[in-house]
Formats: sequence, C-alpha cells, structure tokens
Amino acid sequence: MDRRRIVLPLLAVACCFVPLLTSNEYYVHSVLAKVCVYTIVIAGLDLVVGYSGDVSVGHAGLFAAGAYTTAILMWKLHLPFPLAALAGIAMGALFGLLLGVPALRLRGPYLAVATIAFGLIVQTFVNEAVSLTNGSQGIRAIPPLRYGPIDFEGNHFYYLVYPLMVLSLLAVHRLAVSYWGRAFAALKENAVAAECSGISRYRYKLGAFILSAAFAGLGGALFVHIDKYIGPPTFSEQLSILFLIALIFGGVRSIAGNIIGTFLVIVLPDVFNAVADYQLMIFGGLLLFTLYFVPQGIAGVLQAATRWMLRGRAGLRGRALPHREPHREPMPAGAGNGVPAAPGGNGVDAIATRTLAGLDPAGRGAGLLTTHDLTIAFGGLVAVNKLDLEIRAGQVHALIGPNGSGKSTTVNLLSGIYRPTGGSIRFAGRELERASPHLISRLGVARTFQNVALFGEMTVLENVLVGLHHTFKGGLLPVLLGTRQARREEREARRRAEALLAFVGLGDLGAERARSLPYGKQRLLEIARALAQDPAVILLDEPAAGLTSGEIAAVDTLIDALRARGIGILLIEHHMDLVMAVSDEVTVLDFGQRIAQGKPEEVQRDERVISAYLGTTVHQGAAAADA
Amino acid sequence: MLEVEGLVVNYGLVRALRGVSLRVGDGQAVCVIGSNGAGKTTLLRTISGFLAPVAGSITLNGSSIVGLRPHQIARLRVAHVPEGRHVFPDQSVHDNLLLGAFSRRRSRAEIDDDCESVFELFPRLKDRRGQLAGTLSGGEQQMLAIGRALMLKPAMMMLDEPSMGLAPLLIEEVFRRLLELKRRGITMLLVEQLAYRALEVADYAFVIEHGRIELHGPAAELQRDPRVRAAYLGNAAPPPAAAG
Amino acid sequence: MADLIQLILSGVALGMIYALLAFGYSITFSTSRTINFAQGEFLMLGALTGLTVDVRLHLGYVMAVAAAAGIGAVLGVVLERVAIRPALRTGSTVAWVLATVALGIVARNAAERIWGTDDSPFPAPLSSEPMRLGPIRVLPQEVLIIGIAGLIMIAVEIFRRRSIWGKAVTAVAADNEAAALAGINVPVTITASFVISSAIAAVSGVLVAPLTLAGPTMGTLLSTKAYAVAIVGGLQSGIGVIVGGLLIGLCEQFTARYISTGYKDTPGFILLILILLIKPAGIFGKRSIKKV
Repeated sequence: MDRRRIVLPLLAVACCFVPLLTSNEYYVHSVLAKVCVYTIVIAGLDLVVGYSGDVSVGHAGLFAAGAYTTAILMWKLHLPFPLAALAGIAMGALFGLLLGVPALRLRGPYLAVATIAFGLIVQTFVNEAVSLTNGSQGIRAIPPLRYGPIDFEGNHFYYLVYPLMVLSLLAVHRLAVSYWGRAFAALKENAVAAECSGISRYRYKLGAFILSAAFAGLGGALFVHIDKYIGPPTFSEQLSILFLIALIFGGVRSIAGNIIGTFLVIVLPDVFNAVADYQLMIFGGLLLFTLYFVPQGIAGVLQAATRWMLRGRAGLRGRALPHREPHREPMPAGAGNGVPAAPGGNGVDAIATRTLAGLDPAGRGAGLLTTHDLTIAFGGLVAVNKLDLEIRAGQVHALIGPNGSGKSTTVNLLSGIYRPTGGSIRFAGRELERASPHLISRLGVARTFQNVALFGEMTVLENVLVGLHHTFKGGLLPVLLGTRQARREEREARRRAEALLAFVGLGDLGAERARSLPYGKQRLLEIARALAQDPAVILLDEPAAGLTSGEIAAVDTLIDALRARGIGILLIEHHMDLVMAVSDEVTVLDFGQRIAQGKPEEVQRDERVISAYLGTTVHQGAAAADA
Repeated sequence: MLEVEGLVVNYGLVRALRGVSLRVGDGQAVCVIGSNGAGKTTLLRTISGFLAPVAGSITLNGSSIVGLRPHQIARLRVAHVPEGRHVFPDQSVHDNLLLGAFSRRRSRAEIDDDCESVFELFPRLKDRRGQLAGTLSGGEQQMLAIGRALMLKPAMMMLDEPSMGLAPLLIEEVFRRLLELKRRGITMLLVEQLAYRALEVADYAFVIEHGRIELHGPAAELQRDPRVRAAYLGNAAPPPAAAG
Repeated sequence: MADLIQLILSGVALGMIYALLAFGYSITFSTSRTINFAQGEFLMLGALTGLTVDVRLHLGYVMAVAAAAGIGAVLGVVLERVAIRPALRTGSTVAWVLATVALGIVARNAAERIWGTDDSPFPAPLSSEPMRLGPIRVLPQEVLIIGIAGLIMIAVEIFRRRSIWGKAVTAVAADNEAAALAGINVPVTITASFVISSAIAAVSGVLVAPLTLAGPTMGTLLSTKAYAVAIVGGLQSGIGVIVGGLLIGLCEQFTARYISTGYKDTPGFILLILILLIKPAGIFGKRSIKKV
C-alpha cells in the first residue's frame, strides 16, 4: 500500500513529459491530448454511472454546451481562455442543474430519457441559432492559446490538458473515498436503509450529476482547441454513447479504467480502418459483451490478472492498479466480546443526547414523538386505523400484536417510508406526515429494520459512518480540494464511529465486512448505525428476531443503556420475555387498531390480547392443557 | 401426496430451514405452526418453487418437484394462497377468479360453474363480483385469494397464514370455510400463527421452531400439549397453573 | 380556418405515431419495468423491411405491414433474450438501459450495411396527393395513420381487458409471484409483451415512412419524442399515451408553423421537463403511497 503511494504520483509526474519523447504532432496532439480531454468527461460520467448508478445518454450535449460557450466567448468577445473556460464549466453545471432537478426525483429511466432529449435539443439549437453559433458551418475562428512566452499550441497543448486530467481524476478519487462515496455505495445496496440513515438520495445524485456536467463543460472548453474547430455533427447522440462505451469498457469506478477505456475508444477506430463501416456494430457488441461477461471492464481484468500473477509473493497486495476504495485503516483494540460497555464511557461521548429546542431537556417522560388518529389505507385495506401513540424520553414503549396487525406498517409510517392517509405525526413541534425519511432521520428519529438492512459489502465501521453523515457539514468543495476541514471531519467521524462500536460491543470488528458478521452482531451493528444519527427517538423493529438468548440479553442491556441516556424507544417485538422485561408501556395492535394499552403486566392479562394472539379457542386449549 | 425430506433452505444469509421433513397424505389436513420467523413461509415458498433448497427432497405423488418453476407446480394442481393474500388489485373479483383458472384448458361453461361454486362458498364475493379487488377489505381479499386458489381445482391447497391481519370474526368465517373445504376432500397444508385455530381444522400437526420440526403428532394430541403453548406463545399469557 | 384544421390533422397524425411508440414503451414497462431504448431502430427496421417487400419484391403495402410486424416480433424476442433478461439478472438500471442502447446501435449499423446509408422515399399506398374534404386538404397517409394507429391501440386494449391472456398480462404486471401461483408462465408473458411492443414499433415505421423518408436514422428523433410522450402521459396508462402523443404532436406542428421549423422539437422537451417537475408520474399516472 505504501509502495503505491509513492509509485503512482511519480508515474503521474513522469507522464507529464511524454511530449519530449517524440515530436510526432499527430500522435501527441490528436491522440494523447484528445485522450486527456475525453478522460475528463468520462471521469465525470463515472460519477453518474459508476457511483450514482444512473445513466446519462446526453453528456455530449453538456460537452457541447461547454465547447460552444467557450468558443463563442473567445471568438465573439475575445475573452481570454481561462475566463471562457470557466464560463464553459459554469454552463455545463447550469445545464446539469436544469436537467438533474426534474429528472432525478423519481427512480427509473427518467434521467436517461431526459438526457437523450437534451442532447437532441442542444444539437437542434446549435444548428438553428446561426447568429450565435454559426449553425452548421461551425466555429473556426478560435484564437491561439498564447500568453507571451507560454504557448499551448500544437504539442504543447498536452502540457495544459494532461495536468487538468490528473486533477479531474484526483477530484473524483477524493470524492469516492470520502463520505460521498460511502453515500453512493449505501444508496446502491439499500436505498431505503440509506435514506432512513439520513442520506438524501436526491441530493447526492443531483450533486454527482451537476459535478459531472461541470466536468463535461471543462472537457468541452478544452476540446475547442484540439482541432481549432467545432461543428454540430460532432456533438451527436453517438458521441454520448461513445462516452458510455469508453467508461464501461474501461471499467467503472477505476482511474485506470477511465484512461484505458478512453484510449481504446479513440485509438481503435483508427487502428481498425478496414472495419470502419462496422464500427458501431463492433462497439455495440463490445458494450453488450462487457456488460454481461466483464462487468469490471478491462481495468478489472488487468487487476485480476495482476493479482493472479502476484499471488504467493509475500508482502505484496494484489492491487497493482489504482482503484478507488475507501481507506481501510487498522482498527485499535477495543471491547469486542459482544457485551456492550457500561454507559458513561470515557472520552468521546458517542451518544450525544439531543436537546430539542422547545422541549424540556431534563424531562424524562416528556412526550417526544406522538401520533394522533394515524391511519393508512392501501386501497380497501386499512392497515393502521386511527392509532394514538406517544413515545417519551427515557422510556421504552412496546408495540405488540399478531402478525399482520400493522406494527411494521406503523414503523414505516413513523420513519417516513409511507405517507399516512389520515391523522398526524408530531415530533419536536413539527408535523412529519409529509416528511421524507432522510429528513426524519436528521430531525432525530432513527430506526432499525425487521430484516437487518445493513450495507453488507461495506465494512462494519463504514456502516456506522453512514449513520454519521449528518456530521459532515463541509459539502462538495472541501472534499474535492481535500481541505483541512474535510480531513478533520472524516477523522472525527471515525473516532465517533469507533466509540459507537465499542458502546454496542463490536469494538474490534470495525474492519470486517458487514455481511460476514453473525446475525446477532449484525443487529447490534444496525443499532450502532441508528445511534450514530444522534437520535432522540429510536424505533426498533423486532431487534430480537432470530437471536439466541445470549444475544437477546445483549440487546436487553443495550436498550437499558439507551433508556438511561434519555432516548425514547419504540420497541416492536414478538419475544414476550424481552417485552415484559424491558418496557415501561405496551400498546397492543390487532387489525391495525389499538386494542389495549398499559403497563406490561396489565396487558399480559388482558382477555382481548390473549384472544387476539391465540384465537378464541384459547379457553378450550387452556382447559385441555390443564386436563 | 406431498413428502418433504430433510429440506435445507437458505434465505439470504440466514439458514431458514435446517432439515425439515413432513408428510401430507391424500385428503389429509396438515398444519404447520410456529412463531414468527420460524420458517413457515420459507417452507411453503420452497415447495411452490420460489426458493431452491440447498439439500433435501420434495416429492408430489412420488415425483420430485424440486427445480420446477412456480407456474409449473401450480399446473400440477398445487394451489398456494400466499401470505398477505396478493390479489390482483386493479382487476375485478370475477377476473381474479378467472385468472385462477388460467392454466386449465376448460370450456367457458365449466369455468363459470366453478366460479359459481366459489360464490356459493363466499357469498360476500358474489355481491362484489364486479368490484376491483384492491378496494375489498382484508377479510374479503382473503376469501378472494382462497377462491382464486380453488379455481385451480387443486388436488392440494397450501395456505400461508390466512388469519393474518383479520378481525376475529372474520378469522372465524375463514376457518369455517376451511373446514368445509376439508369436508369436500381437498388435501390441505395450512401454515398458521394462531395455533389453536389451526389445530382445530387439521388432522395432523407439525411444530416448527428455528427452522426445525420440534414436535409433531395428531392435532388432537398437540392441542392438549403444554409444550405447544410454551413453544411459541412466549409468555403472552402466564401459564395458568405453572409456578412463577 | 381550413389551414388550422389541416394543421391540427397533421399534428394528430404525428401524435398518433408518437403514441404508438409510447404505447409500446408502456406495455414493456408495466410487465418488466424496462423500456426499449432501441425502439426507434425497430421502427426503422420495420420501415426498411417494408420498403424492400413493397418496392423491391412488389408485394404491396399490406404485405409490407405484415412483414414489418413479423420482423418486429422477432426483434422483440431477440431484445428480451439478449438485452433485457440478462440485464435484469444483474439488478441494475444501468445494465438494461445500456444493453438496449447497444442493441440499437448494432441495429443501426446493420441497417446501414444492408440498405445503405442514404434515405429513400417510401411510396404511399394511397395517393400521395392531398385529398379534398371541402376546403380542407389532407394527406391520405395521415388519415391512414390515424385510423390504423387508433385501431391497433384499441385492439390491444380490448385484448388486454377482455381476453384471458390479456388479463394474464395485467396480472403479471401487477404481481409477478401471485401470477405464477395462478399458473401463468411469467417469463413467457414478459417475452410476449416485448414481442407486441416491438411489432407495434416496426409497423409504425411502415406507417410513417410515406410521410418522410426511410433511412437508418429515421427512428432516433421519433423515439426520443415518444419517450417524452410516454412520461408526459404516464408510463403505465393507455389513455395517457394517446393524450400525451396528441399534445406533443400538436405542439410540434404549431411551433413549426408559427415559430420556426427548426425549433419544432423543443416543446416536447419542455413539456417533459415540466411534467417531471410537477407530476412525475404523468398526467394520467398514479401517485403512490411509498415515499422512497
């Protein structure tokens, strides 16, 4: 790993001097410089396709926006290149915003459709607005890039675009290993769980798209100087598809992949001149082949090959190629025997109890989350019927009932996954019926899931870090620039995550892959992730399901610890022993309605409750048992 | 009719069934009871062909049905009323029933007759034959789901928690119908959380816990067995005569 | 006034073509949650096949339509097997979108190799001279399009609502598993929906070709507009697709006449963006209770 940190930057700097090796203008300028420019676009596209998981078939349009803005400003207003280029980037980003805002709200192929249409509109506009763009003639009068002694013409253009390419790849890399990368990975694995952990799918996807549009704008601005001419035919749907092919073929989420893919897509048509007529077919076939058989792309294949060749060589990791992955730092030793630490740990107080404005902070028993007449109907099915519930600070409120009585639906309503068809939900003075899950998490209501919804491919620590997203106040720019603030926030978050893991008893398991944990520990991890969100209320959805009695005891202890810290808990459970032992108050649901409420012992003896669980022949059954 | 031997099934990362064996004889009503998460639904879904077992065998009238697709198993006249009913919400009650008979190549007249006998069993559905299934109440949807399964003219019917989400009165009605079906000779495999209801309808019972059959025997015997109460009631009600 | 009616008619005719294509999208979207990004190329292949059958083989227009339908059906099976099914197995949207796009460019290249890169005129089956209905002059082909497109969509809708196979398709679209439990072969049903969708696309190629020219790039623009139509009208609504088609078709013709022909593609795009902002499910789409 350390070796990589030295070799790669050296290699990057070395490549800067490639033009000195040859004076072949064609090769250096037409090929290498073009590769650099296109790679910038493709690195940005990787953000959308590789990380965010969307498809944009219109990046040629964004590319065109940057190119034409720059060209027009340089040609008509004689603006210097840096300014014109900045305008090109801004134009790209602007269109990214205009496209992304409507198209990313819903899940589905909407972005693909919107970007295809956009690409078309841009081509139309460029052809029609002759006074601005010179129409189908294109723009030829591009001033040279000369600033006194500095000359970026011909082969020297490489010296401008190469560093920019490196910076772009570095920026995407920084993003990928930061909390942004984690957010995307989480959204991909389990979008619902990610949203309930405080990650706004919309915001992250929009951010990625706008950034990629800015990159495309930059690429366009630079592209203007490759041939010193731009014209409408270049910026066709075909170019958008070419970008996609380069990305997929090279390998998504990989620096080497971005470069290799771009290189192949630019060089191959020239090499295989004979089959130029079949170019599209070959590319189409390659795309299909890659999608199904080599999804990691060429970079992935090379990586596997390198790993295979280096296997058995002691001390060498198989990762020879730059690959964007979050840092895996060695974990400090900590409490990991499965028993949660006693409350009141030293150092960082991982469970920061939220003080809610307008609420008495010391008030144990203060009502935090209340519902009134909460109702949801799916067509003719009333799943939850006029439910009144109150969760108080420092108290455990259990919600029990037979299968299908509406318990999980209630939790989904409270966490914002479903919109109620009637009634209200109040928390900290706000009405939550229309609130999105990530907003509810940010406000202070966290939850766990009945079927553990972890991000299996991420490490244990990363799962908790996802819950800590609300602590990253910096935003996109500090991450891209690698500022001190960004690094500090990441360090702080890791410290808190480690403390949280220690608190739930998973202290030295941080580096493990989440899916490799035994079931009981997975549940504890989910609780740690919920705690990371700084909640005032936690909704636990069947935390004891599938656990051994030892593991249930650990959950029991944990619930006590949370209660001691003033957190209000809603507990959905079937394990009656746990419910009786730990709850302050119990509500019994049947058929979506509350049929009993009170102290555990009272509810346990309630006739209606017994009947709801067993069916009305309970008396006969009990009588027979006694016989 | 149905024989399951040593079934091992994984559900995601969890081993949901760890070697389950059971038998359903011709004309028998067999129930599988157990608490939530014990593996009951996984069992039915595996028999139906949605899940593939890691080990074990499932034979229907002597031939193995492991590896068959769900629609193929349905065409072998094994009807499955899934947990949560799953009626086709935007289609009418009548259409839902017609779709139940989709795989049967019979004359329109015969299918209409079958529809009528379903309506006889569930008069409420007859009143609502043109209504969209999604607008029916939970109990009506359950009846429709059973009716749809009956349209398959099944040799064996599997029901997954028919009581789920229903009011006690409706549960009463549904189980009365199940008794009627049993009287008509339909082989049944009933999975239920309401142990005593299930034990009243069934001839034979299996108790499943943590993916294993813990107990089995004639239903009448298990009704009296204190272990059954303890096994999955948890302690929702304190044992009447037990100390402490 | 006559002018206005002529404009409306050609707008309606164009809109019906869009609606046909979008109708195809909604069929596959409802059963498999995917749309065919090569639909435009299927339209093109239908048109060129029809051209060969009609002009080269002198078999007439009706045979051309039949041949197009046949080719479309075959393409539908190929699409489902090669692009959709394996992509759905990977579970990501990226996979099927790119796979259908890839198939599209392969199809376009193939068409270039077989028929050449130039556009050819397609002989109108009825006269290419405008008919006279009082003061109004309208192209017979436009009337034909409106008639046949309407018939196709009505026929498919009747099939969907009345026949047991049509109901099975609706059932599969609503609930895969419950449909399988009722004995419906779900994979075959999904393939069938692609066959129908692609055949419709190919036939629309033969319908629209006499109005423009037939060539390898004829489908791109049309299919792009059709996406907008599908989303504006509502991806799962039959009526929505027709309303959306008419809306965009009319907007286009009016823009072409009163503003500029160059910008006639813009209103469709603007409508698309507006609908996504205001009601993403489409004019006739259903709002769901799930927020995530």
